[in-house]
Amino acid sequence: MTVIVARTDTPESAAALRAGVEEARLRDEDLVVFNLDGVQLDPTDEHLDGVPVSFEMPGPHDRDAVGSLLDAAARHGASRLVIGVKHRTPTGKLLFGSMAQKLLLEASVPVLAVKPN
Amino acid sequence: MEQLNLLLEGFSGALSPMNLLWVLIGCLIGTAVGVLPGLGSSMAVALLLPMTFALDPTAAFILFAGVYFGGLFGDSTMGILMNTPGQASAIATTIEGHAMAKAGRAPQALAVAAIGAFIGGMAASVVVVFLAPTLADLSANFGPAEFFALSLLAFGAISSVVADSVVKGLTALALGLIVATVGIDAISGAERLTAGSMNLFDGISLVVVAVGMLALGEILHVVTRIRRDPKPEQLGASGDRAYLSKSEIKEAIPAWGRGTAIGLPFGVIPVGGAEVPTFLAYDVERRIDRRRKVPVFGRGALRGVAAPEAAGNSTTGMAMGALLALGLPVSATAAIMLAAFRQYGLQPGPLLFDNSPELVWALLASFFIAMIVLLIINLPFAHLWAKLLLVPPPYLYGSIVLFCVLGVYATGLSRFDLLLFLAIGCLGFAMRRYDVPVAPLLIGMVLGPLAETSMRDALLGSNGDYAIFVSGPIPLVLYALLLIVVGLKARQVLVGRARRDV
Repeated sequence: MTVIVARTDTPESAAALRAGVEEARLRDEDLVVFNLDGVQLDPTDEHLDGVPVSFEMPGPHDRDAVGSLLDAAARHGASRLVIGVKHRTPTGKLLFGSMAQKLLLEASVPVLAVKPN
Repeated sequence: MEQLNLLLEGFSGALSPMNLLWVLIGCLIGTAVGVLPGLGSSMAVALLLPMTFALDPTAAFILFAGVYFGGLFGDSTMGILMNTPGQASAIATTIEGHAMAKAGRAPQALAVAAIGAFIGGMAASVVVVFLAPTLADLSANFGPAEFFALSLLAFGAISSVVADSVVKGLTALALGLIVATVGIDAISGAERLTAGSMNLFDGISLVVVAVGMLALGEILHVVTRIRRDPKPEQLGASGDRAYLSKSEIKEAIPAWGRGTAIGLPFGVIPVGGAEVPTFLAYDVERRIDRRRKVPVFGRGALRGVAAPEAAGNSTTGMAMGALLALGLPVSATAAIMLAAFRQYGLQPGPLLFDNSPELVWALLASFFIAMIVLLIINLPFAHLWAKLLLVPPPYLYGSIVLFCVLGVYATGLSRFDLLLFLAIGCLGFAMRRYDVPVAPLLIGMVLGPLAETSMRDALLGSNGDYAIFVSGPIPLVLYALLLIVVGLKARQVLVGRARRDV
C-alpha cells in the first residue's frame, strides 16, 4: 500500500507534500509523489524524513492530468490520496472547474485535503 | 431513396476491375505509409498529388480515399505495437493500445482498433451517402457572402484549435494566405508579390507547397532525428490468444458506438481532422471507466482503443462528405484533396453532385469497398506490416525524396519549381522543428483565393456596402459558430490556468 500526493508548484502543494510524508510515516507505507504539471519538481530525494519516495507524472501525450493521477492511485492500490486545496470564488469554479473538486469526488480512495499553514 | 439508386450506380462504377485495383493500391500504400514511423496519410496524399495528371479523376480520388483511410489504419497498428504514432490522430489510441501490447494482448488491441476503424468509417460513409446531397442542396444557396463566412470560419477554427499556441496557428495561416496571393490577380490583372520574376506570374502551385511542406519538410525532420530518437522496438507481438473473445467484443461494442457518435460531427467542423475527436472519445471512455468497480484504464483498456479508433475514422469519413458537398477542407489531407479536384478543373461543392455524379457516387461507393479491403489487409496481417520497418531508412527516405522531386518536376516541367520546392521544404522543416502547424498554412492557401474572390464579388454585388456580409441567416450562423469555436479555445486556455487549485 502507498500514500499518493498530488504536487504542483503552489504553497498548497507544499503543505500537501508535508502532510503526505507525515501520513506515510504514520501508516508505515511508501509515498508516491505525482507531478501534476508533468515536470519533476524539487525535492527529488528518494527518502523524505525516512519515508521511501517514488515519483510519477502524466504521460507525454496526456491531456487530463487529474485523470492520470486517479489512474496512478488505482494502479498503486493507494490507501490515501493527499491534496492541498485553496479557496476559490464560486464563479471561478463554475466557469473553469476545479481540479480539487474532481479529485475529491472521483477518487475511489479516502482523500486527505490540507491547507497551507 | 434516390440516394440508394445513385449509390448502386456508383458501385457499378467502383467495382470495375481497374477501379478495384486502385482501391487496393490506395489501401496498400496508405497502410504502408501509416506503418512507417514519421510518415502519415497527409504526406502520402501529397506525394501522390503529381500522379493526378496521369490518371482519370475517378481513379485518382478512389486512390486518395484508400490512402487517407489506410493511413489511419496503419498508424494505429504501429502505435499499438511500438508506441510510435505517426500522426496526431493516432496518439489517443496509442496510450491504451500500447499498454495492452505490453501486457501481451497485442492481437486483441489490433483487432479492436481495426474493427473500430471499420465501424467508424462505415457509419460515416452511410451518413455521408444520405446527408451529402442534402448538404449540397443547402450549400447551393450559398452566395459570395456565405462562402466568405465559411472561409472565415475555417480560418478561425483551424488556426485556433490545431496548435497549442494561437500565435503559431495564426502565423501559419498568414503564411498560407500570403503564398496564395502571389501571382497575377485574376480580377484586376495586377502583379502581386512577384518581385518582378516571370516565374511567379502564375502564382505558386499548391502541389509544390504541399509536397514541400508535408513530404520534404517531414523527411528532413525525421532525418535530423534518426540517430537521436531511440529505435522503435517491436514488442513480443504474439499473445496467448490470437482472437477476440465474445466477452471482449461485448465490452468493446458500446465504446465503438460512442466513439463513432463523437467522431461524426467533427467531420464538418474545420478543426484540423481527427485529433480532437479521438481525444474526446478517449476522455469519455476514461471517465466512464472510473465509475466501474475495477477501473482498467492505464493498464491496457480495450475501450480506450476501441473508441478513439472509431472516432478517428468516422471523422475522416464525414470530412470527405464535407469536402464533396461543401468544398470545405477540415484537415491538411482534405486540403490537398481539394487541390487535386482543382487540378482536374472540378470544384467540390453543390455543383459537383449535379455535374459529375458518376465521379461522386463512385467515390462514395469506393469508401465502402476501401473499408472492407482495409479490414481484410489489416486484421490478420498486422504483424506482416510491422516487417516494413526492416527497410533501411537511408534507402526509404532517399527514394521518397527522389519521388517528390520527380513529381514536382513532372507537374510543371520548370526548374524554378524545384528550387521553390527545396526552399519550401526547408521552411516546412523549420516549422516542424518549432511546432508550427502546417494545416492552417495549407487551408489558408486553398481557401484564401475563395475568401478573396467571394469577398470582392459580394462587395461588387452590393456596390461596396459592407452590410452584405451580415445580411442573411447563413452567414450569421457561420459567424456564431466561429465565435463559439474561438470562445471554447479561450476557455480552454483560461481553464488550464485557473483550474489548478491543488
